Amino acid sequence: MSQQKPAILLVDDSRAITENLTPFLERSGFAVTVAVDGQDALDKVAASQPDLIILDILMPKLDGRAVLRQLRGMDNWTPVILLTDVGEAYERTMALEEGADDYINKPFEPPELVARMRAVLRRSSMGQPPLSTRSVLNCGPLSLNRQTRRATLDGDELALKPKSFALLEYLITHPGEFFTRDQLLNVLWGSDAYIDRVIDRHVSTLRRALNDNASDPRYIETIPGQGYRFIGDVEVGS
Amino acid sequence: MTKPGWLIASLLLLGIGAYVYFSQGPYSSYVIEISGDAQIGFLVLVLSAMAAAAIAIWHRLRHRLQQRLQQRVAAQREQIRNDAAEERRRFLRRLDHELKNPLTAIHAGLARMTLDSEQPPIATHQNILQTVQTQTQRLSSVVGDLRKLADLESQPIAFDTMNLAVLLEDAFAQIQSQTSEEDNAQLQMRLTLPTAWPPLPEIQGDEDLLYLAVLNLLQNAVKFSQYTGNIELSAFVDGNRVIIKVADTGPGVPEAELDHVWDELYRSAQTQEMDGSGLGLAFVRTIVARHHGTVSMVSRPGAGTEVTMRLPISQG
Repeated sequence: MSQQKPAILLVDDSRAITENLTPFLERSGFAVTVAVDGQDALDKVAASQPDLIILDILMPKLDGRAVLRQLRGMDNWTPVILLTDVGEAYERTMALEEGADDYINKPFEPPELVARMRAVLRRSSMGQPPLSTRSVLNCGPLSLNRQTRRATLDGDELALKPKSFALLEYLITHPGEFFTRDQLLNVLWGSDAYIDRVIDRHVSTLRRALNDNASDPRYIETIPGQGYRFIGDVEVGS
Repeated sequence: MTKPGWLIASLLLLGIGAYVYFSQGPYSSYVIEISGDAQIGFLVLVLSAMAAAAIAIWHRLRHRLQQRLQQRVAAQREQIRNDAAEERRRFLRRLDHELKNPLTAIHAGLARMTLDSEQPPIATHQNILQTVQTQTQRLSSVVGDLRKLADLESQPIAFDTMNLAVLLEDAFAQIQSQTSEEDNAQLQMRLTLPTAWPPLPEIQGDEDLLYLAVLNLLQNAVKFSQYTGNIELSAFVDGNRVIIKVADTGPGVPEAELDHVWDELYRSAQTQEMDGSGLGLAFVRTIVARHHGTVSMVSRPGAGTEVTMRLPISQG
């Protein structure tokens, strides 16, 4: 990447948000353009080719997911972070499958958004679909088929409940990034209103299924007092 | 006269008319020759048969009419329910937009102020900023929790087979490990599961949600007991229900408040300063309700509290 500031397209219909977020993002080292609705967003993407798009979902005219579908439909793989709300779980999963790189729930703290943006920019190989759009992902003997919702280890199928699969899926599509329990709760339930120990239980279940040793892990690493991370090299499968 | 009356009368008249017609006139030769008294008896027999037939037909018609009516009522109810659910979803989406956007804007404004200042803000301004920041986070938290509760109440839950014994053991192990991290904890905790007949069954439900509910009750028990005393988690089968109990020797809840502890955002005088959203028990109540069960609390101030969850075994 060049030494220039990354060019961000911020799409949100709330002026109060964009007027305050823009200076913050600029002070954090980004060059920001604003779009106020979905149609405006598509026009500006065509005009300026941003490095990253921050896309609100609930917007008039064209909503965020429709914009995303159109972009991906045109084979435009500019990284996208969706600003979502507490929606249904399947909506969030679909958002990732429809080609978003990541999402963050409103209301969020701007520094957290910046952290996500930097992670997405680091991860993205420009012009390529992100890991989150790939159907099959492999890490050594572990293979995940996101369409059939099946995981296998050395060819043997793992009996994983839907939420455990969803957790593994999220971690493996964000390799090397660490997430707090609250963030993972948001991934699985769209809110961190739940007790974060529920995540610990799912991680234990996953470790048992994967034969992963917590103190010498191959797949999921615990960062003491902080959260979890998927280590291991992820490759796209066929 | 009532409708059945009309029907019976009509059929009787028809029967008599037919008999009279056929016993005279051109068909008289086909009519069986019967003597006088027997003729009356025969007539009575025929009329009774016709009356019985009339009653039978009437009942059948009425039954069919009732069924059709019931089906229509059921379809209408389903439609009303779906409309209400859709309306609720639309409302929640508007609520999300109207609550979360302002909160997001406030967070953005505060973050910008922190980054933007040329000189460090004076002490009073710093305090003000801190207060606004903290309260905004608190507001965001409450909004998030309430939204989650609304979702829990209305969204479809994927039911799966759950092993209750494993679930309770996991929750118990979790609370034990949590309390062992606390210094000064002097808690005695006990888990009692059936060792004889009948064993705890596998039931249908959402394992995460029920685990959450049980863990929440255990955490409350530990918190309100201030990490001393006894905590007991037990479960057994009672008829076609599973009973799960969490009991403690904490300060208890006054009788006047017992009905209200399950309300959203409830806080008693004791909990005002504690962490937590005041939504824990509301979550528990909603989770149990979505599993077609009930939950209740008994308590004696100064002695302790017991919460009882009752879950049906066969989910109808």
